[in-house]
Amino acid sequence: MEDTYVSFGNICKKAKIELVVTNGISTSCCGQIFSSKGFADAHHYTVNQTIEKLFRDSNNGSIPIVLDVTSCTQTLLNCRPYLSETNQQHFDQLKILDIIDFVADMAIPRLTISQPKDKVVFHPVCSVHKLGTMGKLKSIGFACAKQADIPVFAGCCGMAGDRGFYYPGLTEAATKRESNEVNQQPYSGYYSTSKTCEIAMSEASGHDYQSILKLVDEVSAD
Amino acid sequence: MLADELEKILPTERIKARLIDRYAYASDASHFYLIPKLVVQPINIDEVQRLFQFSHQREEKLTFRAAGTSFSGQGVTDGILADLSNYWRHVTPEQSGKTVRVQPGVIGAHVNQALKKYGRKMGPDPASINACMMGGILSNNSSGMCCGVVNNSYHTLKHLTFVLPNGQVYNTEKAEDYLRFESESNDIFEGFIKLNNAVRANEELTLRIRKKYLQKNTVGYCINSFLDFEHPLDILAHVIIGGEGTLAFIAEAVLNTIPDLPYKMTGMLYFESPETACNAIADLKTTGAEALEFMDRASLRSVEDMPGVPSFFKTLPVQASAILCEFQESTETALIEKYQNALPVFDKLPLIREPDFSQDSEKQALLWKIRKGMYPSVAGMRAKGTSALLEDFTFPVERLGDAVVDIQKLFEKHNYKNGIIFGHAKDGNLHFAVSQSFLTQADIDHYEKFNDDLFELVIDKYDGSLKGEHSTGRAVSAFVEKEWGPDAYQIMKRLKALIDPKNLLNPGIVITEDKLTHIHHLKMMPIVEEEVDRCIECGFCETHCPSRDFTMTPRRRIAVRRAMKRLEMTGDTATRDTLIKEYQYDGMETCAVDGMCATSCPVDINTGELIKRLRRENHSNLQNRIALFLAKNFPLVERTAKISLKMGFFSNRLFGKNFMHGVTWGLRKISGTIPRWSKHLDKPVSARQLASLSNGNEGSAKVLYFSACINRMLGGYLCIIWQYLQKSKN
Ligand SMILES: Cc1cc2nc3c(=O)[nH]c(=O)nc-3n(C[C@H](O)[C@H](O)[C@H](O)COP(=O)(O)OP(=O)(O)OC[C@H]3O[C@@H](n4cnc5c(N)ncnc54)[C@H](O)[C@@H]3O)c2cc1C
Repeated sequence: MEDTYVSFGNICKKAKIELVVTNGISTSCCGQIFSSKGFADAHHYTVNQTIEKLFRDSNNGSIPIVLDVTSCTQTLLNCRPYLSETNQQHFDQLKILDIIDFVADMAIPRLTISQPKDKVVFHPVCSVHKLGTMGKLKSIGFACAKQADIPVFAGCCGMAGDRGFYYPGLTEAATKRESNEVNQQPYSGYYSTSKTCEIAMSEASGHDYQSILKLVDEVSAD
Repeated sequence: MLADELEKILPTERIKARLIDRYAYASDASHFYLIPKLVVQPINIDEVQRLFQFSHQREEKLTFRAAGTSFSGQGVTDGILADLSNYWRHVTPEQSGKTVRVQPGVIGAHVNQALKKYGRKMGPDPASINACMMGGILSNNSSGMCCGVVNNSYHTLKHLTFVLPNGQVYNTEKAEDYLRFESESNDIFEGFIKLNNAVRANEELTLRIRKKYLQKNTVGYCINSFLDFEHPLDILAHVIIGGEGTLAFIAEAVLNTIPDLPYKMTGMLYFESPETACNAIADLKTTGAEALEFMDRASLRSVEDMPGVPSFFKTLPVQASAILCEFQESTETALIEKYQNALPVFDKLPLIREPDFSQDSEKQALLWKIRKGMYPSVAGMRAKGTSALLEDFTFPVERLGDAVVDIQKLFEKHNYKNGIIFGHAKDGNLHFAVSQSFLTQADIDHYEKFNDDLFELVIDKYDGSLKGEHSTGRAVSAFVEKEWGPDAYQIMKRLKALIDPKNLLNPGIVITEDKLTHIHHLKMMPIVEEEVDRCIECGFCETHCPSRDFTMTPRRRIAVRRAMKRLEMTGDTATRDTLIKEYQYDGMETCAVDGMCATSCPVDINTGELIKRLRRENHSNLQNRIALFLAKNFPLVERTAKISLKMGFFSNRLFGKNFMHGVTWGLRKISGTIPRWSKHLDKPVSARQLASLSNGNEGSAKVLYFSACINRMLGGYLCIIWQYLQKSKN
C-alpha cells in the first residue's frame, strides 16, 4: 500500500504543480495533540513554532501551504488566538489550504480523469463540517467516480486524533451506525481525509479507508 | 437494592444505577427536574413486558423516554426511567414509501431520509425533527409548520404494536389480535365499549370534541378516537397516540406518508400591527399556503443582527408584524399557478412592504433561518440562571390578533421583558418565549401568577388550548379539566384507570390529583460557567455525539455540571464528590472534543471546548511542564516514535500482521496507557522521503507541502506522549 505522501507527489507531478518540501515543516505539528488534552502551554509553544516555520518556508506567505489531514488544517486555521503578536501578523499572510481545497480547486482542474471509479464512499471528517467543505468533497466525488456516497449516518468516528487508541470502546460505539450503513453494499473504494479517522472507519467496517489523495492519484492520467 | 432486583430481568450493562446516570437523566428539554431511581435500557418487547411486571410487583413507577426533547415535563420521573434512545432504531419504508414502519428510537429526520428516494415524507413535522424520536413524536402527537391538524401521527397512523401495563402485546395489523384483545384483556375491552357509548350518547361532549380538534390541541388524551373508530383496539391504538407514555409502550408503528413536495415559493409579508397581520390569516388560508408563520415585532427584533437579515428590520414600525408564507407543489407549473392565484389576495391585504417571493433555495433558507432562529436567539441571550420557557397556545384563528395583544399586555403587567410571540398562525397556534428564573420562592410565585393569568386568558376568554403541540406534561396536567370541561375529563380519567389501574406508568402526566403540578419539581438553573449557563438542555446535540452510545452526551455532560453545582449549593458535598469522581471517565475522558455538538446546538455551545477547559484545569504543574518539554523536543520525540513504530513493524513481519494489534490490545487492558496498535498503521515516513518529493515543475502553481505528523509517524509518537503524560499523573 502506498503512502499518502507518495500520492500527493504523484498528483503534483501529473498536475504540473511545483511542490516544495522543507525539513522544518516536516518536523512540525498543528498542536492538536496537546490542545485536545488540555495542555495549553505545550499547545501554544507548538503552534507558535509551526507558524514561524510556515511563514519562513512559504516565503513570507507567498506559497500556498497544503496540509494533508483535514483535522490538522482546522486546528491550524483556528490557532490565531494562541499566537504571539508577530505570529498573528504572519498567520494573517499565510494561505493555508486543506487537502480538500487543494484537490478540488487546484489539482482536479489541472488533471485528466481517465479512469473514474464506479462507486465510492466517503467518510467526511468532523472538520469538513466545521470548515464548510462538504460541497467541495462532493465535487471531488463527482469528478472521480460515477457515484460517490456520503452515508446518512456519517458522523464523528470518536478517534479525536488519538483518544480512540486509548478508549477503543468510544470509537467502536461511534462508528457502528455508519459502518453498518456502509456495509449494506459493496464499494470500489473507501476514502476520507484524516488518517486517524480512516483507521477508525477501517477497523469498524473491515474495509481499507484511504486518503482521497489515493483516489485522485488512481483515477488521473499521467 | 432495586438494581440488584432488576438484574434478574435485564443484563447489568443496561441497568444504569450510578449517581451520575441518575443525575444525567434528571433533565430533559422541559423546565421540570426529577431524579430517576435508576435508568434501564430495554431492547425488545420481552424485556419491556418484564419491566411492566417488575413495576407492578414492586409498585415502582415507570416512565419511557425517547430523545428527551419534550417541553412539558412528560419525560422526567423519580421512578424508573426506561431510555429507548440507543436501540429501537429500525425504519423500513414499505409499499414504495407509501407507508413506513418505525421503531420508537429512530430520529424523525432519519425516517424522512429513508423516505426521500420515494419522494415522500411522514406527516408529523416538529421543528425538533432532527433530534426527537418516533416514540416521542407518536406519544406527543407532535406537529409543526405544515402538518396542521390533518397530517399528524393520529391521522396518519396505520398500525400500532404496543405493550399494555398488564403485559399484553397487541398489533393492529393482525386480525387475531382483535379477538385476543377481547378475550385476554376483557376488562379493558368492555370498559372501552362503555366509554365509547358514554361519549357518543353525550351530544354536547361530541360537539366539544369535534370543535377542539378543528385546531391544534395536544392537551389531554385524543378522545376523538371514540368518535373516529369503532373497534376498541383501534380506539385504544389511537389514544396511545398523544398518550404521553401513560397508557402503553409503543414498540412499532406503521404510518401513512405524504408527498414531499419539491417545488416551493417562499416570501415574507409585513403588516403594521399584529391585529392586521392576524386578520389576514383567513384570507391567506384560501390561497392554499402550506405554511403561514406569524412573527411579532419583538420576534423580528430578536433576529435583526443575524447575518443576512435585511437591514429594514431595524426600521419597521413599532408594532409591525410579519407572516412567512410558503407554497409547495409537486410541479413547477402548479406552483406558479398557485402563487399567481394568491397575488390578488395579497393585493387586498394592508401590507406595508411589497411582497417579495422567491423560489431561490438560498433566499428561502434565510427566511426559515429567521423564523427558526427566534427561540434560540431569545434562549441564547437570556440572563444566566434562567430557563427559556416556550409556551404553546392555540386560539381560534379569527381572534388570533386580539390574543397577541392580550399576551403582550400580560408581558407588561408581569414585567416580562423581551418576550417574543411567533407561531403557526394557519392553525391558530402561537408560541411565545420568555426567560424565567426558578432560583427563589419569589421567582416561582411570580411565575405562578403570570401563568394563572395566561391560562385564564386562553381558557376563559378564548376557549383555546394550553398546548397546541407540546402535550400536557406536568405543565398543564392540572388544567386539563378546566380546558376540556368535566365530562371529557371524566372520560380521560376512566380511560387511564382502565388501562393502568395502579397508576404506575408515567403517573401525574395528563391525569393528576396534584393541582400544583405545574409549579412542583421546577428545574433550578444554578450559575455554573459560560457554556453550561447558556444550555437549554434541548438535546439537539446528542445525535451527533460520538460517545452517545458509550458513556454520555453533551447535554448530559452539562446537566451533571449543573447537578454538581446544585449539590454544592445545598451543602451535599459527599454526593457531589461521587459525581465528580464518576464524571472523570464518563464526562471528561470519553469526550472526543470533536465539537460536532456545536453544529446542531441552537445556542452555539461547543461542549468539547468546555471539556478541554476542564482538562486544562485538571492538570498539575508538573504535567504541564512535561507536556511543554515534549513539545519543545518534538523532533526528538518524533524520532523515538518512529523507531518504536519500526520495531512494531518488525514484530509484525515476524509474527504476522495482527501480532502487534493483539499484543498492544492486551497491554492496554492491563495498563490502560498503551494505545491499541492498529493493523491499519502505515510505516513511518522520514523527512528525507518527504524531501524527495520536491519537484522542479515549472508549472502554473506552486505549493508548500505540510505532511501532518499523524501521517508521518502515526501511532508511535502518540503512544510515547501519552505514556509520559499518564505516568506524570501518578
Ligand atoms: C427547540 C425545540 C423545538 C421543538 N419544536 C416542536 C414542534 O415544532 N412541534 C412539536 O410538536 N414539538 C416540538 N418540540 C417538543 C418535542 O421535541 C416533541 O414533542 C418531540 O416529539 C418529543 O420527542 P422525544 O423523542 O424527545 O420524546 P420524549 O421527550 O423522550 O418523550 C415524550 C413522551 O413520549 C413518551 N414515550 C417516548 N417513547 C415512548 C414509547 N416507545 N412508548 C410509550 N411512550 C413513549 C415519553 O414517556 C414521554 O411522555 C420541540 C422541542 C424543542 C426542544
